[in-house]
Amino acid sequence: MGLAFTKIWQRLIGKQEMRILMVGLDAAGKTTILYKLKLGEVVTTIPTIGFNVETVEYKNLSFTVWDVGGQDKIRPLWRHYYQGTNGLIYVVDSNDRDRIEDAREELNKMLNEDEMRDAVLLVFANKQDLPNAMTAAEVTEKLGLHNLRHRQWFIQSACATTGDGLYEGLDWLSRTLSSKR
Amino acid sequence: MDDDLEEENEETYGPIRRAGQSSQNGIVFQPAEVEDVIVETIDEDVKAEADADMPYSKPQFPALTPKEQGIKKQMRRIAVPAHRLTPLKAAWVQLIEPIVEHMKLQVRMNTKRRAVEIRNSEHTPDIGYLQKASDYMKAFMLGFDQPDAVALLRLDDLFIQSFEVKDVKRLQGDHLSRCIGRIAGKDGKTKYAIENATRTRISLCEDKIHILGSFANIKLARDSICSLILGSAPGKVYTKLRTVSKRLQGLIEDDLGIRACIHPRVALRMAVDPVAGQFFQRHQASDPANSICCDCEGRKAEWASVSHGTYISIEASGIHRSLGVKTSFVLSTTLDSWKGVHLRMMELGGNRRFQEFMRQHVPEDMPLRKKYLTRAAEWYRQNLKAEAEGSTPPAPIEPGTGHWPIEGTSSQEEILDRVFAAAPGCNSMTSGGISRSTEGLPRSISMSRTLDGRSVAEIVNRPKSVKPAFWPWRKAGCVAQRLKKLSTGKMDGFGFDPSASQRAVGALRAGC
Repeated sequence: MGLAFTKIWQRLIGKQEMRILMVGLDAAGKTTILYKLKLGEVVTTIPTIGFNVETVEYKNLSFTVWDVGGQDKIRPLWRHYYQGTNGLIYVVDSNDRDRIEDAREELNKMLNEDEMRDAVLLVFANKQDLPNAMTAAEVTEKLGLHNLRHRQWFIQSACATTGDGLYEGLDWLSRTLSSKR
Repeated sequence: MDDDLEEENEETYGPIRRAGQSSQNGIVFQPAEVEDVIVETIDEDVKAEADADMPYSKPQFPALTPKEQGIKKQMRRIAVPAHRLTPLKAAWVQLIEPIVEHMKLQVRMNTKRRAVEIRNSEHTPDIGYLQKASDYMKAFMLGFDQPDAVALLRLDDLFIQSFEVKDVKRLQGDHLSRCIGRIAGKDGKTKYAIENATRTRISLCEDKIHILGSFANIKLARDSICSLILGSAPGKVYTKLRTVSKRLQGLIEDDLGIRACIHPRVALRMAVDPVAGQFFQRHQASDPANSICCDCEGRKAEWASVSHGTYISIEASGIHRSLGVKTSFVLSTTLDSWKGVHLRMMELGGNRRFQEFMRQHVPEDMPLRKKYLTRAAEWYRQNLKAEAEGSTPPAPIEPGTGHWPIEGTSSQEEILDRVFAAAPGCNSMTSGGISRSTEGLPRSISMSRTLDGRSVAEIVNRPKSVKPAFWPWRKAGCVAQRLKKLSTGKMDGFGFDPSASQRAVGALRAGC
């Protein structure tokens, strides 16, 4: 009886825990996004060697966001974070036309992993404030997102320093993840 | 007489170790006493430090160059099968880049013989590279992609194993075709599953199968392919693979993965780009200015602004990254892999050249971010790039205009200017460092500061004196509301939902 009551109470006010993995090439803006979400402020960041993790309470969900460093040699470590991931936030520097191909490769490699089978994908086309940034449509094409089958994905252009676009992205993530349960 | 004999025997049967007695080589033999032997497991880190602390250092002899070894020109010829000719043409440039740029070998395509020929040149640093390069080419001819084949150059413990379906089971006609189809799976699904689970690459050429991977992994992949050939259903093989991949993951995690997450130093040691590593060692040794940060004196420079060809510290690299990739492209000298053109830019640039140039054009007390957004800095970037690529350099800047800001910068520069003005580290910044309360935090957080100068660590660690909210969902809405306020609605976004589209298709069919 007590257990049933707890369950109902949990259902009413309890939080669903969601594990979110945030990755992307180096200098895409992952750490800046993480702290913009957590603190609402812009922080000075230095390259992440290792990871940052923060819990962000968003509506009825509790996101545990893992922000993992993106340097070439530490990308193989991403896979240690795959297990149990509900959502994947992939951050792309919309200015970096030279390395968008690398971004595509890394993304595909990750989505092919068995453990990421059920994870939904949110792509942030970050750094829209800089001149000549690629639009969301352009990034979609370059990343080949249209070729993804059996995957729920959403791309959102954003600017982490002002926080513009983060709301739309997170909103999609929370809606998708809560409807999935 | 007897004594003499004994002595003779001692001499013939090797050295007898006596305390305080030195041999002809000057080596003192210590008596081996069991009590003195202490077996200890020494952590690698500790060992490295202990080495550094020793009063003497081991002599270091440079490796002999092929010339000194007296090796003359050698050539390897790799035949190109007809079906790899077109892929070879398509991937030729990427294919030869590592061979020519990093290994300094000479490559040509012999169209008459339909073979690729590789030979060493006088610049080749190691004769072993020739064999490596020919293995790499052979791997490509067997049907592996260039990025996979390149792994053979990077890692030493990779092998290729080839076998035929016939070796496992005599199959003919349709049976054989079905068997090959079973290995590949629909759209190569089974093949990919095996590749991913066992961390290998598999190439299927009719009834020939080539596997690229480490010894243990090849064995795993071979076992599952053999069971497919013998007729197991792919589903059964998948289940086996899943357990195998779990076990493999566990092993690797134990090995280095988790340790690397905890100890960045382990991650650093994992870094393997021998060519870049050697280059940086040489370049930083040749000019001491390259070993310290270009922007803040006295800090160790393990990062590089490729656009300016300068070596910088991790703190300064944060500022450079905030400028955007078009202004300053930042790479780590240890954690990134480097392209030939980027190394060339570092070679042509260097800290001293940049500093001397900027001193002529820009006042020294200019804040860092402003300094890199001046015309002078932009000209320097363009010029360096042109030099590295061999294209035409930009027109010289008009004297006296070097310190002018460049046009077309981001609207957000002011925010970033303010944020980074409060950051610890460089020139205009206070030398903050890590305060006591933040010692336990990862470096990247504890170094970070927000707009009003508080460190992030302060905010994250601040005591939670706030009473627990009675209506938790109201409080939880805060992040959402805060973010919503920041949203201008100008940013576009769209997505795709396979279940929705399937439902739509289903509805359409029902309608029909």
